[in-house]
Amino acid sequence: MDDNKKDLNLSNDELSAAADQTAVTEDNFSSAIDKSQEYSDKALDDELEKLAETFRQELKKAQAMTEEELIKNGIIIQQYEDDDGVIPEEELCKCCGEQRRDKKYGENYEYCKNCREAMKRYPLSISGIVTLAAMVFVAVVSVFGFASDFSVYNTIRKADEYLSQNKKYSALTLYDEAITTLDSADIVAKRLYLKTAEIVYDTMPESIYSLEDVSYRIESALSDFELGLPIYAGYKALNKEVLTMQSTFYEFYNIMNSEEFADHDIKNDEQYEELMTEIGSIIDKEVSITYSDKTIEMVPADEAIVRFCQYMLAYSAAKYEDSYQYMNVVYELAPSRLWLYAYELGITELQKGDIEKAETFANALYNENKDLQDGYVLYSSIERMKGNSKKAVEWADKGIKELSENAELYRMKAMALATNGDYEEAKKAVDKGLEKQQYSYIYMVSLVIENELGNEERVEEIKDTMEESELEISDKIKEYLKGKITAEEIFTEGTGDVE
Amino acid sequence: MTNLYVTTRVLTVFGTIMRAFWEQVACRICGIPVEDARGFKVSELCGHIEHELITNKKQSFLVCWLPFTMNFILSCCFLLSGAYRVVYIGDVKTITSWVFLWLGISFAANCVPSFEDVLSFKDNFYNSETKTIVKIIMAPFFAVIYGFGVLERYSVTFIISVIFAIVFPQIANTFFPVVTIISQMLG
Repeated sequence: MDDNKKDLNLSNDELSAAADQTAVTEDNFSSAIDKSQEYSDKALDDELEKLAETFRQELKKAQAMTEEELIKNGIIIQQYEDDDGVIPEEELCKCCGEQRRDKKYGENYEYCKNCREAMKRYPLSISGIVTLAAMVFVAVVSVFGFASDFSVYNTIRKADEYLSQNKKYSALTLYDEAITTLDSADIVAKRLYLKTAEIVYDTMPESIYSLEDVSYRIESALSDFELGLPIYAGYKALNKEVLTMQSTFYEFYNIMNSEEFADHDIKNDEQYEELMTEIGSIIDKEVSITYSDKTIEMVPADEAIVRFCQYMLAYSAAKYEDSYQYMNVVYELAPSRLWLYAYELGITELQKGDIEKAETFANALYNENKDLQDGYVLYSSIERMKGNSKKAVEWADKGIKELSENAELYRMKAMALATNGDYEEAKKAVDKGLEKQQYSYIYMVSLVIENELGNEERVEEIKDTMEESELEISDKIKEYLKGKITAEEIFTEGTGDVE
Repeated sequence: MTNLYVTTRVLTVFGTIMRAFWEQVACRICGIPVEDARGFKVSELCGHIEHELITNKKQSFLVCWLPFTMNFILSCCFLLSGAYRVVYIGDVKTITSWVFLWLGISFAANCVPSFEDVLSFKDNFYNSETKTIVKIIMAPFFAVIYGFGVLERYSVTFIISVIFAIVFPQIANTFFPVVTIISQMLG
C-alpha cells in the first residue's frame, strides 16, 4: 500500500479521502451495527464480512485510478507537478502568469479560474463611457433639432405628396411656404429651390413673368461655381434657356413699343405684315442675356418664343388662321412647353372638329398639372361637343373638386347641364360661378340659362350689369336673344361657346 | 481587404468605438469572459472585442443584437437632423448638419456583430436540439445579421449606410402622419 501511495504521490489523507468517497460512511456503518441487534451472531459476522469486503473493493478501485482520473472526478485537486512544486511555463495562465490554466474549458484554454472570473467583469474603458455620454448628448440635441423643424419637414412632405399626384400649384405653394420659413432661419434649402424652379418652368403660373422667377430660384440655390459643375449642367442649361426666352420677349416688346411700330394698326393688312416681318426677323438676331454675376452672353433668339409672339399678334388682329399656323409651329419647336400652346391649340382643334387632336392636348394638360383648370375645361368642352353632356358634367365636377374656387369650371358645368336641358341645375352651377368671379363669358352663359328658364327680370338685370361693367354681349348671344339660334346650338356647334 | 475594412472603421470611428463598447456591455451582462476589449486593432476584428465562445442561446442573441439595436437607434437619431437637413432640404452650408450626417452614417455602418458571433448565433439556434418554432422565429434575425455580416467583410456595409442615410427621410416620412396625430392628441 505504501508503494502504491508513492507511485501516486498521494498523502495518507488524500488516500483516505479517496476511500471515504467511494466507501461506506460512518453513519451507514452505525446503522448496520444497529441492525445487528436483530440478527444472530452468525448473521452479524456475515454482515460485517460483507461490509469489510465492500470497503476493500472500493479502496482497491481508488488505488487503481490514475491521477488524471482522480483529478477528472474532482476527488483531488492537483497543485504541484514536479518535485520542486513549479508549474511549467506552457501551463501558466496567459493573463496572470502565476496560476495553472483551467483545463475544464478545454485542453487549449489559456486562462486560470481566477482570471476567467475577473474577465467576466472586464472594466469598461473611460474613453468608451465618455464617448457614450457624448454621443447620447449629441443624439438628444439632434432629436430636439429635428423636433423644432418638424413642421417644416411635414410641409415639405405634403408638398412632395401633391407633386407625386401632379398637383403642381398646391405643391409649389407648400414648397414656397417651407422656403420662406427656412430663409428666415438663414438656411438655404437648395433642393427646394431647384425643385420649385422646375415646377415653375413646367407650369408658368404667371405666364412669361414666371421666367424671371425660374432664373431667380436657380441662382439662389447654386453659386456660379456650382453652376459650372457637371452634376448641375441641367440647371445651367435651364437657366440659360429661360434667360434667352426672357430676352427674346424683351426684343418683341422693344419692337412693339418702338417709334417705328408703336402706332401700327394691326387691322391694316399692310401694317400687320410689316410688323409680323419685323418680329420674325428676331429669329436671325442674337439677344443678350445677363447672368446673376453680371456676365453677358450673346445667344441666338428663342424661335418658339418668336413664333408665340407672332401668334399673339395674329390673334389680336383676329387673323385666326395665321394664329393657328403659328401655334402649330410653336408646338413643333417646343413640345415640352405645354403652357405656350396646349390649351389654345386644343380649343382650336376642337372648334375645327379634330376631336382626337383636342383630346391629345387635353390629356397632356390634365396629366401635367391637375391643379390647372385647362385640362378639365378642355375635356368638359370636348365631351359637350361630342354630345356626352353627362361626361362633360363629370369632368367639370372633377375639376371643381380640385379647384373649388374656379368660376370657369362652374361655367363649364352649367353649359354641359344646359346642353342636356337641365336648366334648373345649370342655373345653380352658373350662380355659384358668379359668386366666385364675374366676367363676360359667365354673364353670357347666365343670360342664356335665365332666358331659357323664362326669368326675364333676371335677363335684364344681367344685361344692365354687363353694360355697367362695360362688358360687350357677343354677336352670337345677340343672335340667340333674337331667336335666330338655340341654346343647344350655342353650346354644341361652331365654337361651342358664347363667342 | 483588411486594410479597406480598417479604413472604413477609422472613417466611422465613433460608430466603431460604440459597437465595441456595446459588445463589452452585452458580455458583461451575460457573464461572458472578455479577453481583449480594445476596439481598434488592425485586423478583421477591428471594432469588435475578443471574448470566449458563446454556448448559450440568450447570450448569443444579446451579444449579436444589443450592439445592433443601440447603434441603429443612435444612427436614426443623428440622421433625423443630418439626413433631413443635407439630403431632404439641401442645406449644404451648415457644418453641424454634415456632422450629424457623418455620425448617422458612422453608426449605421457599425451595427453588425462580428462574423464569429454570427456563426455562434447560428450554432446555438440552428442545431438539432432547438425546436423548429424557435428556428422559424429567429430566421429573420439570423438572416439580417448573416447577410450584413457577409457584406461587412467587404466593407459594403459602408456603402449601404450611405444609401440608408440618403433614403432615410423618405422612410421616416411614412411615420409623419402618426407623429402628427400623436402630437395633436398630446397638444
